[in-house]
Amino acid sequence: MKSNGYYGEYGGKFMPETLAGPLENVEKAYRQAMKDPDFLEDLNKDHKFFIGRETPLYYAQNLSQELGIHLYFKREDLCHTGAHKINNAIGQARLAKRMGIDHLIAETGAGQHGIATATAAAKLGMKCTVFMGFSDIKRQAHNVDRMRMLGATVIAVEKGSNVLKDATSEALRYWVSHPTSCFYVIGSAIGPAPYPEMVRNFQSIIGTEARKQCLNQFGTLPDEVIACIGGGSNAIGIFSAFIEDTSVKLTGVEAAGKGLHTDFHAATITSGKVGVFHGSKMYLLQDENGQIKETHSISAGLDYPGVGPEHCYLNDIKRVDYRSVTDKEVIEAFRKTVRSEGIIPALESAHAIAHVLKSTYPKGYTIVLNLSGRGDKDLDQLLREHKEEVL
Amino acid sequence: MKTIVMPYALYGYPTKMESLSLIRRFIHSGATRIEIGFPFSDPVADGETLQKANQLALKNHPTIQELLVDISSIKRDHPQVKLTLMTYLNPILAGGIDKTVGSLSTHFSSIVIPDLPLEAYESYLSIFKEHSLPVVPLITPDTSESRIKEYCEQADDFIYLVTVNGITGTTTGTKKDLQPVLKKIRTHYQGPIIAGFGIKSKKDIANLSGTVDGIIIASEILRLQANGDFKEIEALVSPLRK
Ligand SMILES: Cc1ncc(COP(=O)(O)O)c(C=O)c1O
Repeated sequence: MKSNGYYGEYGGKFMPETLAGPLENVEKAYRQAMKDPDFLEDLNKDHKFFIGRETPLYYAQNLSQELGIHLYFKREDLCHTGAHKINNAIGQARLAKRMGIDHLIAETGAGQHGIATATAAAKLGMKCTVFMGFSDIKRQAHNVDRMRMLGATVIAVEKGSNVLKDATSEALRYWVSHPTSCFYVIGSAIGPAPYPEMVRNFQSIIGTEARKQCLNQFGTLPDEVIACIGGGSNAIGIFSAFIEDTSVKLTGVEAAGKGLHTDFHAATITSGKVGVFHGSKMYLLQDENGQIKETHSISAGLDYPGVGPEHCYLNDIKRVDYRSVTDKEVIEAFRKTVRSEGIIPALESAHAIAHVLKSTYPKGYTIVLNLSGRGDKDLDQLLREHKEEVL
Repeated sequence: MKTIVMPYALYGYPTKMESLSLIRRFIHSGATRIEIGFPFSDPVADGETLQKANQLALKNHPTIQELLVDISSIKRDHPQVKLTLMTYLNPILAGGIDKTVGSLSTHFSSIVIPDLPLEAYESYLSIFKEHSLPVVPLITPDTSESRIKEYCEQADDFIYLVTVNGITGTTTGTKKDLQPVLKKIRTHYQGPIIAGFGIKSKKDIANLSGTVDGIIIASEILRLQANGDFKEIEALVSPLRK
């Protein structure tokens, strides 16, 4: 399926020439590391003792009963630092260290990837700089404090729409200006090759565990696996183990924001057009002149106009079904999950839940939903902007 | 060796009219090659000055079709001036790459696309070749010898030597000794080598003149343009005529 950094026609390495050498070095180091038993052993220990893996596959009994289905949550919200992002950040940080680079840079939207990278940097004794859009800094103020406490420098990006895409552009510019002294820890399955593949592999632990847990806990594979899609890393992480299981339906849920008929959404696959951005060919929200559109989502982590190239391919071959839900549906799903299950999901993850709530399934249908993160980071924003709906 | 100065104008900045009149000024000051930028919303190879200018230019909703119409009268009056377009890949893809490249080739001698490196040549270069619109390779002081060789084999109009590891207009990028990379390029390529990125002053120009065939000045011209210092622009563009 993948050759030379491409998934079908998607992917590639569309980067300024200055990064050609550094990207080659990352790729070489990554391929060597994945064959090195010591590296894999370190990663394994991180999973177990630092991140707290394996994360449970939790039976959401009350929601299941209400919906007449079997709904399981893969509890990535229980990972150290509160989201799946840490699986990838630790992997890339270890890789950088192996390459002898001790300065990590990262972009972040919701702040989860920034925290994960700052955490990995603290653990491994590395320097860390995080780029974050000014709007997201306001939305996710707590996470900014956490990053600073961990020793990271947080750079407020006041450019374009002041969100994730602008933070990503700025991190890329920083890398172009310091190509050999820093390592860019990309936070999703996006960017130039080998990042989409590398991030997928660091996140594939989610799917590997979930698949095994299904077989152990209920003796068969689920009917469907569902995950939210920002850049697509938590989704590809859980999907990866099930792609060959053709009996399992895979569904990715994008942010429809204020509605697909408006300009305020981030539903890239559902309503984007193929283009080249941030180093790879993928579906993109863009205008008719090829300018990248500003996006909107209630959740900072989904507020991105592109999506990982492997998802674009999986969409085209119809292996994954991509849907979208609105901010409004997400808030309702958030409230319901908190009240029914005693779990506060991240607004990103609540997108996947909202999709389940609005769909109809045959009785006894089994769903595994990737609960990508916990919602503590979103409470300030929800209480500020949607108090009546969530209290 | 005579070193030319290749000035840069961003289409639509601050307005379409004003960018066109800047291009005419360049020509009257003696410029023989001009780089024309077509704005993009997310220019990752560009520094602060160009980013801001791109944002402002986009408020005027420029399209490539309009640019072609606007540039045609300049090209008619000054057919000898070589125009190079600089933009990112996505605006070229948006309207259908074949059609867009075909129409660009009527007025432009070449095109610079910072996010179309060697790895992406396989997918797109044949289209540019078909329409005789050479893609100008960007080569940096750290580009490997084997990549330089491949770039040189594909180069037509000129080679763009990026003088720093960094973004445009930058002063923070690492200044590099250009002699080794120049030597490597020269073993494979006899056409013009034009240097750019971070060149601001007459002193920068003087330092480079004689070692390269030309110099691109972009951010500094935008800065002067914003201040209305057209006399200075004129002086920068035609320094070696005096
Ligand atoms: C909790 C959580 N879930 C999901 C996402 C979306 O990213 P991805 O699609 O890469 O998993 C984010 C991104 O910040 C996040 O923090």
